[in-house]
Order: sequence, then structure tokens, then C-alpha cells
Amino acid sequence: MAYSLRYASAIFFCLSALLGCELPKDPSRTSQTVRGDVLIVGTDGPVPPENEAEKAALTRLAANLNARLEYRQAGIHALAADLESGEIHVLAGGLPRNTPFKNRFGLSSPVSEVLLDGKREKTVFAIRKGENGFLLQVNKAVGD
Amino acid sequence: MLVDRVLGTAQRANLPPELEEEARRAVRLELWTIFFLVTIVIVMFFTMGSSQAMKTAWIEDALSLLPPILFLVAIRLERRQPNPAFPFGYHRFGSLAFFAAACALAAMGGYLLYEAVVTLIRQEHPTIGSVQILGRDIWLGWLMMAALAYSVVPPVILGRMKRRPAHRLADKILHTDSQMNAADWQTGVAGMAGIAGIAFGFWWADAAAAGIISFSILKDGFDNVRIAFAELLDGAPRKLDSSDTHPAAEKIRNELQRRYPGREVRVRETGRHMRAVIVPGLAAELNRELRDELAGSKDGWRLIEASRALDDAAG
Repeated sequence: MAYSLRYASAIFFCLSALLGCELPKDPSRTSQTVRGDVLIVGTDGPVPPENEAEKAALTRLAANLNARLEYRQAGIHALAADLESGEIHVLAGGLPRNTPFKNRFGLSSPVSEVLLDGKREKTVFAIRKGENGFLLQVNKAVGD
Repeated sequence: MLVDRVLGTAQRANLPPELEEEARRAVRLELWTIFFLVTIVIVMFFTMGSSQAMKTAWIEDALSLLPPILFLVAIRLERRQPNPAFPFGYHRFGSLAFFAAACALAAMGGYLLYEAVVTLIRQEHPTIGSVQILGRDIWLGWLMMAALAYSVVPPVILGRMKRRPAHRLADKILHTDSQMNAADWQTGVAGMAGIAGIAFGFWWADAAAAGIISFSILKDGFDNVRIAFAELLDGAPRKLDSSDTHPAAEKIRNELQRRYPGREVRVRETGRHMRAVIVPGLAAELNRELRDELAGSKDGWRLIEASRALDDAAG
């Protein structure tokens, strides 16, 4: 009985420690890189993005991380490579949820909608694959 | 009651009364297994998101529905009366179902290993999103761990409970199923460890854990496939969990040999039962002429045995 109580309190302690510290973490440390420095957003459209929801979410994300917001404009293929190497942190600008690049990126929750070939498509932000802590930050900014 | 519906009206006295009760218990256990697996498959489906690791665990849980279903079909079918189309009855459906269950187990191990190796080679960083619950953004990884924790509990309990009836009924499908349940809980725990690893930023943790577990599942699967082959090839009856000959088969053979000296005794397995043949039965008379007479000159060569069976309920 005393043992099971001790186990229970140990498990409880571990769990609260787990939830207390910043989990999940990023394998490539995107959150740490951005925090207090600069959030670089790539887009192949106008700068800043015309969509109000996207613009607001990106501003919130930068504010949450105490970072300056910087845009970089380029073609989608160059941006994809930059995202994979960590040169940019977010890919934005009306990216549809079923983008052909979806297996190369991590995708956020839906931000807004666009009309593609007469069909409504949800748009998302793309981030470097596997950066789960950063993705949670992005989703928080999108959801607020 | 559902158990009676599964067993059907027993047309054929198949098992001694004390084992009949054990069979009913096994049917009940398998019905519970199917119920829990279906709930697990549903819960996992809603939490898996785009996670490859969860998808693998989900496919596995769906695959482990196969042995319990096969068991229920087999135990129902084997009670049917022999008929002109199936003069030896349906006992051997158990052998066939066991082969299918063994293949399912091996396939599950193979699939798990393949997924793990591909993820590691391609260095795929698993990306797990979040959901909003009551206005808070919760990382899906935590929900996956909760779903996996649920998926672990019923198989552990049911798998252990199946061991005794599996041995008493000499039921290889039930035995494979209890092994599959063990595999389920191992992959569940591995999945939880993997997602915890991802939370700490180790992208490879999940695949590595799955890869390690896959070896033991593959081994169980291949061992069972070997036993199933032996059964389908009229091999001597094997033990439930190894390719060694079952001691009861040895005893039957030795005993019959003692009683009928100078004759060869062959014992084989059909489902959970055994058939013993004493040779020569009519073999002394079974020459070319008799064969042709019995089977016709074109097919005479195909008749290689005509024996008297020492037969009781097996018919």
C-alpha cells in the first residue's frame, strides 16, 4: 500500500514535470532560434500577405515569441528548400491544405480559405517537418 | 445468448463435457476481444491525425481482429457433420485458419519493420499537430499516448486469459491470438515511448522502438507459419508453441506400435484432433490390380492408402 502510494506520487511528479517544461521540443530547435530574435516568413505572393487572417496570425506568432517579423519573397520551390534547411521558419500566402508539398512540410491548423478552381480550399501555414514545439506555437497563434 | 449463436446447435459430439465448457469460455473471450478491438480501432482512428506511427499501430490493431474472427468461424464450422462433399468433416478448417492467423502475425511484424526502416532511412521527422479542446491547444501527441494507453490494457488481460483454454483445447488459433495480443501491448508501449521521445525532440525514437519490437513479432509469426505448414503437410502433431512433436502423438504412436507389432503407425493432426493410421491396413492387398479395380485404370496410381481407422467421435 505504502509502495503503491509512493509509485503514484512518483508518477504524478513525473507527469507534472513533463507538462511543466516546454514539451514537445523541436529536433532542429526552431522555437529557440526564433524566440527573442527574428521570425522569417517566406511567401510567393504579395508582402505582407493580403489575407487578413494570415497576417494577424503571423503578427501574433511573432509577438508570442518576442520576435521581429520579417518577410522573404521568392518562388515556391526556392522557399520549399529554404524551409527544409531552416533558412525561413514559416511558409505562408494562401497555401492550400492539400498542397503537393504536404509530405515535405509540417502543416498548421487551417488559417483561412481560398477559391481554387471554383472549390473552397482551407489554407494552412507550412513549417519545417518534425518541429512539433514550433508547430504548437503556430497553431496557438492561428487559433487565437 | 451470443455464445450459443456462435457455436450453433452442436450437430457433432466434438469435445468431452469438461472441455465443452472451456470452449464456451474461449468463445466468450474472443467475443470480448472483438468488442474491445473495435473500440480501440475507433479511438485510434480519431487520434491518429497524420502520424505515421499511429497509423502503423492502427493497422496492427485492425489486423489483430483476424485471429478472433477466424477462431469463431473455425469452432463453429468444425462441429458440422461430415457429408459426401466433406467426408472427413471440417476439423481441418482449424488448420487452415491457423495458417491464416500465423500469416497475419508475420505480416504485422514485417509491416512494422518495413515502416521503421523506411522512416529511419529517409530520416522522416514525424510531425504531430494539435487540437483545440475547451479553448486550449493540446498537442495531439498527448492524446495519442492516452489512446495507446487504452489500447494496451484489454489485450494484456484478454491475452493472458486465453492461454489456459488455448492449451486445454489444443487450439492453435487461440494460442496465436494470445500471442498477437501480447504483440499489441508491446507495440502500444513502444508507441508511447516513441511519442514521448518525439516530445523530447528525438525524431527517430518512434521508428527505433517499433523496429526493435518488430523482430519478436516476426519471429512469433514465422514460428507459427512453420507449425501451420507442418499441419497442412500431414506432419506429425506439433506442440502449440514449437515445431517439436506433441508428446501425446508420440505416446499414441508408441502405444499402437506395441499393440500391433510389425506395423507402421502414422499420426497426423486435423485441427485440434489427431488421426492415427496403422499401416499396412489393406496395404498388403493394395497392389496394382486392386488399385486399378478400385479407382479405375487411369487414376489407380493416386490411391496410396486404404486403411482401417481407429476412430471414435471423429467419424
